[in-house]
Amino acid sequence: MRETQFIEQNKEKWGEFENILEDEYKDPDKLNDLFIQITDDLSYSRTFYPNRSVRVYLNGLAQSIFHDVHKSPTSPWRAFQHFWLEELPQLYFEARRDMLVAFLVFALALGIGVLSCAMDPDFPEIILGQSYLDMTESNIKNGDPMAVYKQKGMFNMALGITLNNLMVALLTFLTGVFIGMGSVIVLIFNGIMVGVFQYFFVEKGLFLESFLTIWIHGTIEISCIIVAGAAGLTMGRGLAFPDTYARDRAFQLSARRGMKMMIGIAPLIILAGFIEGFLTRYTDTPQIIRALFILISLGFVLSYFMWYPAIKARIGFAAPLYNTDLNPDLNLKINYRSIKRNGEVFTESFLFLRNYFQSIIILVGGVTALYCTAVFLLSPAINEEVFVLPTDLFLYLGDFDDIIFNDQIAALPFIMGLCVMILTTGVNRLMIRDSDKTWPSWSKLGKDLFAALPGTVVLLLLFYAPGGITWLIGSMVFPLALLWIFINQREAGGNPFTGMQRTLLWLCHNGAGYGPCR
Amino acid sequence: MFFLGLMHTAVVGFFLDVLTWIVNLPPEKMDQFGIVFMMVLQMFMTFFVFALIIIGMGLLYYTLSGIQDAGDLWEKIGKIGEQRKIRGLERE
Repeated sequence: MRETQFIEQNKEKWGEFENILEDEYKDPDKLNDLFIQITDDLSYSRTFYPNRSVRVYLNGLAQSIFHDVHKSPTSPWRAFQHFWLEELPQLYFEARRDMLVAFLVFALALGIGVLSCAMDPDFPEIILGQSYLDMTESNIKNGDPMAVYKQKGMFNMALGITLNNLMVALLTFLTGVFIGMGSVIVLIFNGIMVGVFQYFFVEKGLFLESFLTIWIHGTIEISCIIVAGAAGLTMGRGLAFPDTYARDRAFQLSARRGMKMMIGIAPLIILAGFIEGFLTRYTDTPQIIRALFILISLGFVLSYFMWYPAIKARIGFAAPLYNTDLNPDLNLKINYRSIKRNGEVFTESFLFLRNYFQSIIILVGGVTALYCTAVFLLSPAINEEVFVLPTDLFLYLGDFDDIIFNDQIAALPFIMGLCVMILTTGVNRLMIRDSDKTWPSWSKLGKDLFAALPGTVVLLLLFYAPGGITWLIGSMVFPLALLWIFINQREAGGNPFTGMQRTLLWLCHNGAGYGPCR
Repeated sequence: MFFLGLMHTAVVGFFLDVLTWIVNLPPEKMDQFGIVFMMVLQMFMTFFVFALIIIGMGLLYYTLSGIQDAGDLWEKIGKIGEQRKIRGLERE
């Protein structure tokens, strides 16, 4: 083919490619096709017209596509910048209706709190508790109504408040899983509390003082709770209105969006906690400075969550948010032969749970029913004395041994032991079935239950010694006992000594970290 | 921790409140129901988390077993040369 004919034949195509290259948003598939075709043409021209300008032109074109396709990886700083200045504002912009709803719900609840307080003088006692009211009234009498912010050391207070606020924000978000209703309820609860708290001081004629103290940190703190509520609503919306996706897929996407929104507020919650711990206590700071601080905080919150996303949306975001990072539907199977890192073991535990969800729920429900029925039949009365019910998470974990060793029910360790044996045997048999592709025979069930006995005794004994020593020893021996049970049932034929020998052998080979350290 | 943390939330309280609106029981019976409900929920969550730990330890068994017996490695050794045949490279 003559060179002119070659050019004539392809010039329209090359022109089109030039236009695609100039576009701001390039389709990767098109770019890939383009690269293949251009390199084909370049090869042809290198063979037949090696010293002609068409070869140089095609080489230049191929080079620019190559640079576009094989761009150097984004630097961590650029990724960081992109997340905070592009991706997050876009997420907040797209969730603007949820943000508005969360704000309105909170504002309404705050109004309800104020109104309830104004109409019923006993209402603050219900919401804030008598001890808190007594303490605040005593502070007012002593001439320092905001003394509550000066009680602890700066750092301890900041840390405690930050952790509490993170927990509240996380709860506001996570409860959004109930199609957003949980977030709304938590927002209402918090809104009423803030309203009551603020009106309590208004009633005492301390509006300005309380406002300038509380809202120094409250501006950022409450904004974060509202955004957490919006994140919960975003997550719940995916579940309630899946659009064209399957419901679980839509939920996956919306939960991911909500989680990113939560990441956005995490540093602000920490900042608010530190402001509350370190700055709020200086109540003798001139009012104008405190008012200015509140205005700056409000300005920042409004700018970052509303104004900046709106401006960015008007100008145009760098790249639209696509839902392309969705994993394909696969029947994921666990490879029992591969050596897994600790993180993989953790992930695959949830995969196993997903694959055998129904069986595990039935099993867990069964042992729960067995335990509760036995407990309520054996306990002298149904009251809160029998067990420590979880009013506080850490308190509950500290008194965990009460559900095994309880003064009022002597047989409780035996009931719990039976439940542990059933649960371990059931779950282990499911796993053995999954790995060996055959059900362990039912005739072996009794033997398997018996094989779980020694490990179960060890597990229960761990909780017999109360206090910190339990947690220390438990954290080391607890997994080992479970491993021992599994080995007893899987390969030791129920002989606990062989099982123990094998467990210790593995432990010696792999170290106290149990898993491979790669 | 999260599972257990979710128990002491406004959602659970709200659920119990809704029940009191629907079922008209004397206050002491309602209190007892609240205790039973929380107890069952507490034990369900505890056993559920425990089941997850059992699964994790079961999976760890296979990893330790893999390190000890190198089953995966033996399988891979057996497959050496097979992939080239599958891709048709042998014919080339």
